[in-house]
Amino acid sequence: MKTERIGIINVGASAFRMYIGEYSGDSERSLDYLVKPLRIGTDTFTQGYIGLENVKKATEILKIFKLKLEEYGIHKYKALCTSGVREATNQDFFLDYTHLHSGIKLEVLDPSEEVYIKYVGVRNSVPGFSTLEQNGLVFANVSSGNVTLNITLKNKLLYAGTLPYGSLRMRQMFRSISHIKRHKAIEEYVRKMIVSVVATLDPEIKCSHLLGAGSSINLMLRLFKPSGNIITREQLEEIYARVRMMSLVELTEELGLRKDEASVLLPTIITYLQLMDIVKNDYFSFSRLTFPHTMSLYYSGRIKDTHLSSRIKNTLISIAEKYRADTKHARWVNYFARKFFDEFSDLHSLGRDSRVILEASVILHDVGKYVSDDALATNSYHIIKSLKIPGLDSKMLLMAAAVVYEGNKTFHEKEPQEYASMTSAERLTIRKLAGIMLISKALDMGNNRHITDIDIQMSDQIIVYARAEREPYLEMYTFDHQKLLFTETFGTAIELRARISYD
Amino acid sequence: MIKNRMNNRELSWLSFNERVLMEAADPSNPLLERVKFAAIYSSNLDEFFMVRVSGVYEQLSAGDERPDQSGLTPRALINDIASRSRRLNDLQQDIFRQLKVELEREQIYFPDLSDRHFDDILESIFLDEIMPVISPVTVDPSHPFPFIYSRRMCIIVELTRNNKPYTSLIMIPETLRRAYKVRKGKKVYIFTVEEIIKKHLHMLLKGYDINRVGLFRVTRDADLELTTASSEDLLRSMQRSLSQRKKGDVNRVEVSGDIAESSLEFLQRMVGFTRTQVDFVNGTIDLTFLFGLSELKESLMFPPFKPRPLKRLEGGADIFDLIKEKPLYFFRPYSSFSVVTDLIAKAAKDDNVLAIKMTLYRANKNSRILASLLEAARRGKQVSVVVELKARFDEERNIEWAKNLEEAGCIVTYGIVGLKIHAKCMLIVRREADKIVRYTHIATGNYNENTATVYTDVDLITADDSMGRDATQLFNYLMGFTEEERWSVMRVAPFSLRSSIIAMIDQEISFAKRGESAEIIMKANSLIDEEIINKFYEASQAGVKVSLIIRGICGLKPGIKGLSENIHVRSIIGRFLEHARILYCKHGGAGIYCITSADMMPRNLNGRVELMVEVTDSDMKASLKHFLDVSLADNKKAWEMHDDKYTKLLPMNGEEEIHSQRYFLECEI
Repeated sequence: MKTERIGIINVGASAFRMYIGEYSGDSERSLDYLVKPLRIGTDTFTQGYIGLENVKKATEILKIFKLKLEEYGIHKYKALCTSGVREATNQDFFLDYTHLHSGIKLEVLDPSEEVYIKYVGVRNSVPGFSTLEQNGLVFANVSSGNVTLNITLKNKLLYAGTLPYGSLRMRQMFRSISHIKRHKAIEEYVRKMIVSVVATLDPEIKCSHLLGAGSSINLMLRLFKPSGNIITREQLEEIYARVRMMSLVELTEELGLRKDEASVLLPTIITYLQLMDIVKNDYFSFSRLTFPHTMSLYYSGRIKDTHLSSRIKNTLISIAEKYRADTKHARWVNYFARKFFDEFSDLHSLGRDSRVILEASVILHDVGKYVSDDALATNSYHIIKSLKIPGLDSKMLLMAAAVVYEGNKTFHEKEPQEYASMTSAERLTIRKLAGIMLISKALDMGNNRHITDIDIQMSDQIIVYARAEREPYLEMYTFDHQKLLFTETFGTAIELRARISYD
Repeated sequence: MIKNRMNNRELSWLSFNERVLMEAADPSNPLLERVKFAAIYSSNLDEFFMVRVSGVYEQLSAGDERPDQSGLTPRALINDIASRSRRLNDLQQDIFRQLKVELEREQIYFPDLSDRHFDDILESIFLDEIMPVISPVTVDPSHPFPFIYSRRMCIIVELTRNNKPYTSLIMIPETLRRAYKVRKGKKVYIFTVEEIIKKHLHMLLKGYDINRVGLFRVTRDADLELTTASSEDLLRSMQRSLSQRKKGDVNRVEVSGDIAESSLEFLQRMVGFTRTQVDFVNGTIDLTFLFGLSELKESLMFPPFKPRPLKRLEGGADIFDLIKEKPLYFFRPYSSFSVVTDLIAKAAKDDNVLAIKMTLYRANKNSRILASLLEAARRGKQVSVVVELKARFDEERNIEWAKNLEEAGCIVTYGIVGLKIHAKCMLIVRREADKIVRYTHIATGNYNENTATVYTDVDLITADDSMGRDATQLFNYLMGFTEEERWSVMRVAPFSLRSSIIAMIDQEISFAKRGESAEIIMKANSLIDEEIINKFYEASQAGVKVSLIIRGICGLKPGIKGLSENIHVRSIIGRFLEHARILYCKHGGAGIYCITSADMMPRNLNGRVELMVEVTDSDMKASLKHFLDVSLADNKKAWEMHDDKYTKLLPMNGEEEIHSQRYFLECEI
């Protein structure tokens, strides 16, 4: 059985972490784990860029990590940065400088991918996760830079967002306020986050469970040393009452925390206490998996999201519902689109991700109507690209938005800015998927499911035989008018023929 | 409430040195070994004054008048130290006189220089070897009083010329040997350099009338204070401090018994010391030169011994395979430390070895281990060495090694500011069938091939993955690669070692309180930590049987009613320096055995990085049990403590004589 070792480096807002795992078949062995505090987020969140001193310190840490890779003879590694680098205006300089001087090539992790990896990591490590999601789960990834929330009920994603309420960010925001009063400012700020999240939810909805993750968990572990995987409100309130007016020095001395940990203690406690207000239980559970460990499992293929596609589909439907789209129609069109995609695989030669993009485009193709019927393409485009869906990274969502735009655009709508930076291959994919979306949409143009199914015959030209209960006039007409993009993109003629079924 | 529940640390140390001195008087030791013990006593005492007494003087000068746990104020302690060390020094000179008588029977002589028989040869020695390198300083306005370096033998001479008085000082350079051996047939005559100089002063101070001659030697504070704030500066700061070592405050002045009062007053004025610090020596000052006599006659030394090779290695099987199959362990010096040196040498050449890491506290000159590390680095392996620059009196050698290692491409780090790295640990990272296997060596003693033949220690080499992971984490921490301070199987000071020991004692207390048999055995070099001592008292009061084998300082008072009647303390002083640190707890019969690098002292538990691991291998546990049982049964080289006094044990009538070190030399543990 082949054994492989993977090194994962995570450049977070407050610390650099490294995990080295050895994988053989299904077994995993943790070889090494390093933590080096460096608060690059302090620079990013206050001045917008990472100062040169911290760039150099970061390089020194990465040199150490490189030694570790060499120690284990590892050539395969992933070095990923989160918000501390992602939000820095000198991100490119940081990546280039550190690469040049340490030899470690860093990549910036897309926020939605970050959330997704954390999500699947926790999903795989917390027993009964599906039941929790069924009963209503607030999954909170509380880290130094951001708080990411996913609220799920009955397997539908009710809320997904990455919010700039990370503990280090808050600490920096309120650093000029005396430590005697600082907790009040943080309380108020976190409250604002909670209120804005709750406002998007149905007031009747109450989730039963809070599940914490992120670097905040390490702090909780050091603080409470819990034997199980639960921290209660009572524990948090007790420690909060004790420490809320303490200075940094007092926190380090009294609680035996490192300085970097002590500085983010209050924002972390306050965030968890207030998150507990939106669930029924007076405790939160957590997973002990560190983010680098999770990434190691993820990139080595040891954790798989077996329900990914159905969960994405459910989430897309619930988003479509939220924007008052006709979800029955969306599901119907989606059915045809998938059938076309699978049948035309030799024609389009696109992969699994493109299929997911197509599904997202098809289900959400009408969401722009929520704003207005005018400029439907542009409205839908902006809505889709701003979504946060675990399992779909922002690039995929942008592609889905572009497919919808491409399919719905009218001659007076201005091309979105992001188009300029797309490659010709990406543009071609968009056109291919938009071509499929348009002919799929045409098959239920009347939103009445007259066409019950299709059969596809491929020869010199493609003939789609529509099985219908009655003559699908509107669909035939629309198909004929919408197939142009398909024909132009794939260079193949396509024709719809109806077969009416009689009793 | 029992007052003064603890013995004073310094006085307890003096008591230890007294036990060492008594080995010089023990006729069951070979004669030249007895001479060597007299030298060890002197060397120990020098270090004591340079380091420990300095601390007490610092307390005094800071105006600290608070009594310690033994009830002594710093002032009272200084007086006690002075009077006890004087008494012991007198005893040492008595023993030396007796030794000289016995040495004469073996044709080794310390002749009186008035014997003209040696005039010619002594004059040659003086003219050829000594005179060219000494420069007397006759003090006058143009020749101010020179700085007197620590532990440098000096001669003070009162002179006159043209009826005008002068004082001259001769500092004997370190480059000169202290004793000259003159062989005539089978007879060996020994002369000290100061006596030869004294005899030839007229040649050195021509034109002067020599009136009075005296010898003196000052001992100065040598405890280094590093003021650095970051580890990058540690090397430079250490180099700076070392140059200051010889210039510390004076703590002791040894003077020859015949020194003139006027000379002493002059010195007191010029050097700056008090009369409490003066020690009149009626005999020979500084007997450390006796170390040099040990090669004179092999027959008068302990019979040579060859450390046993490990049986498991005899078949020629691959050592890595053997360790994977079962941990290797051994007891130094009875078994050969070459297991470790050979392992490192093999690792250095092994293509599958990716990395070698080790701590370095005290390495010897011409260390094979360090040579192997250099080779490993040259072969492209990742070699990381955590060098403790603050290893007292080995600092210069460690700096030198550090530089050599760095030049060869090793990653050298100097540990953590504020913490001494005392843990002895080595890690070999090896790729085997594409998997990583980590071999961890943990010991109670240093990576020093010389002391490995003199100090008793325990070594464990294992391929246990939890241990390897913790060792990795330890090196990550020591090298500044991580801030994580969590270990799963290792107990590491200053983080979890103390609390683990306390928890283990607490466990025994709870067994005792439940009416079950409870027992603790601890073997260490020193026990002075107040929290641990109080926990032992608590254990005793709960009914736990506590046996302590503490070679040196022991702050605990055993056998005191209502406090410690279940505690027995013994100290073993013998041919080998007892150095293994072992902790045993009965634990309801399960028996927990731990080995550790730490002594039970606040400095070890709070200010050093130390390791403790539990031994899980059943064979090693059995060996440790056997080792402790025999040590506790020793009635030949063991001293038993009552209150703060030690009594040497003797076999009772009809009782079998048990000499633990001799036993371990003869029988495999």
